[in-house]
Amino acid sequence: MKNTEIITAQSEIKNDNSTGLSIIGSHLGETGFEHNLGLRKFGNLTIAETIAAGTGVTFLSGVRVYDQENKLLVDFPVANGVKYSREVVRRIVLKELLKMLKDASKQNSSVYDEQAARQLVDSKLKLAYYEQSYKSVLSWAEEIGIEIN
Amino acid sequence: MNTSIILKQFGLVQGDVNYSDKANAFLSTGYTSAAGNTYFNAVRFAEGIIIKEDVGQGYAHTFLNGIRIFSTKNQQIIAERDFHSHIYSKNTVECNSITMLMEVLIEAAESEDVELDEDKARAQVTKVIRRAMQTDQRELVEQQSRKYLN
Repeated sequence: MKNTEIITAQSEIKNDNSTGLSIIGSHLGETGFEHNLGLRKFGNLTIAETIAAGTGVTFLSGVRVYDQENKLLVDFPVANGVKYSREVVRRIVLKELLKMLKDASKQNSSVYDEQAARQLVDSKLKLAYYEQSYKSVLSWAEEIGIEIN
Repeated sequence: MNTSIILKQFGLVQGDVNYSDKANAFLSTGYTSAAGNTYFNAVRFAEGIIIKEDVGQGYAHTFLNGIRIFSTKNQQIIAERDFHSHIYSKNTVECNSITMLMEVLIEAAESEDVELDEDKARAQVTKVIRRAMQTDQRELVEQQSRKYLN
């Protein structure tokens, strides 16, 4: 699938509970791996994650970030054999967005507080990736008798 | 309801699963790589959650490659962790599952700004996971299906 097709792909959207992604494209490869392209909203940015799910293992094959006008901001070259987890992708996105922010502030000669930017983007990205898990685990905890106040 | 159907409905496994008495878990069909290693999933039900293990079986050792924990109620992923060169044992699964659940629970409480007694929570989480490891999984799946799928 070409870069430009990612956001405009007209396919049935399926929610993937294992990753929290909205899957917009999927095909079964010759080797038996299911290749999925999924999207995740992060504010007005869209994170596109490409994964290959096999038996007992899931690999990450691509990470891209688009702005609200579908302009490609990040196209991270994922090495072969990187196992997929939300945290692996979250850290890639965090690193790449911070790099872009730093470069942009240099170009504009604007003041840039790297630490504050890291803290803010990190916490917002955590919510984008884990908010549903947080809600689910708290609900489960109450169900098994753990007091949450 | 058949366990394979439940797990397929949840999107947790693609093929069939069969109960293994030895593992006290539901095992998926394996895939054997060109290098001769066999990969499969082991699935266990606990109160309100499903634990899915990525397992790799080589010539000399069996490895735990990953654990993913899902909510039975909404099938959302709660926690995940990958391992490298981790020899498989039920005890490793048990300990890591407890740690993963406690970590996400503490983070969730912080994020949602609620209070949690960590010691009491750990005791309860440990009880739930131990029970899942010790109770016949066929009984637990029946019980959990009745509770969450009716």
